[in-house]
Amino acid sequence: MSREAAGGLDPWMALRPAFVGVGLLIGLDVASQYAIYVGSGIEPAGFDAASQVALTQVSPLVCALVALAIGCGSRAGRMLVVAAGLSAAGAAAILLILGLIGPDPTAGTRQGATQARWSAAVAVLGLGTSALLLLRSRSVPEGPGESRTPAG
Amino acid sequence: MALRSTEQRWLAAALTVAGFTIILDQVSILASGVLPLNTGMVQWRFGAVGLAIGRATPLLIADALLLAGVALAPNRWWSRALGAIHLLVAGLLLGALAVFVLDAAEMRRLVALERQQALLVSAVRVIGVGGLAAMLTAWLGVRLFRLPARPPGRRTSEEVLMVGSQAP
Repeated sequence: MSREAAGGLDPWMALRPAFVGVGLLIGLDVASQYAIYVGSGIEPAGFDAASQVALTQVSPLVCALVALAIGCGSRAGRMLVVAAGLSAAGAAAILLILGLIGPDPTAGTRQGATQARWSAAVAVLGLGTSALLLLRSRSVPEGPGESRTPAG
Repeated sequence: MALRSTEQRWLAAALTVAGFTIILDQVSILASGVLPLNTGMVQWRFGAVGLAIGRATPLLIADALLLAGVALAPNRWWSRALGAIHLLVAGLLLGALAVFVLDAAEMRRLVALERQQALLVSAVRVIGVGGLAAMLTAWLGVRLFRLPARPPGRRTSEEVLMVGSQAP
């Protein structure tokens, strides 16, 4: 591999695709864990399970969003990252609404249901705010060797 | 606001320490789950690889921190050492996955019929995520090994002299 193939002379540019790879792999890992857990029918089923798992996955998803935003140099790539973040926040919002309009929990499941609603609210706030901040940022985080001109 | 080179180096050091702290934390969690070693037992091997791949996300986050540190303050010795570690981990991961595939086939015969579907789904997830992680780690190892030592535009005095001595 030549120096040009390794991304030119700038280490930051050379490592940018690595951040995309890390972000995508975290996203895949989180999605597969979530799918297996919810699909396996482990109790408590339904909203509680989905929201509680969602809460445990908020931190890695935010990290994946940031890694992808660092790695995606183009405006189109950054918009895709923002769209993915907003989609995840939207899915959490649907979970939250389902929990709020759903039947009142029984005494035995009240604690789990309350926790699940907080989980979904945290997911909406965290993922939504991260995605909107990325949308508002004028350019992706740049390496020390790059010029600082506004994107697009 | 651009960071000065001294600030970049300190930030890179902080990111590197943070990355290694996460790695140590994850390794200790993993060790508490798999110790004592029982490599002769198929259930132990199957579970250990599954647990290790289950730690993929925090380890990838730690790796991103280490990479950011290298990108902020490039150092040829450190990037090559990190590249060698990545290549070693990729090799270990591929070996563990090869053993895992054989153990998964063995485990399917050992578990009850109603548990076979769940076992297959978990095994496919571990092989998929682990395989992609091994490929990414190997690619990163090569990339880090060939990483330039400094950003463009910064020439050493020797290079400046060479450029200056060239005939027009």
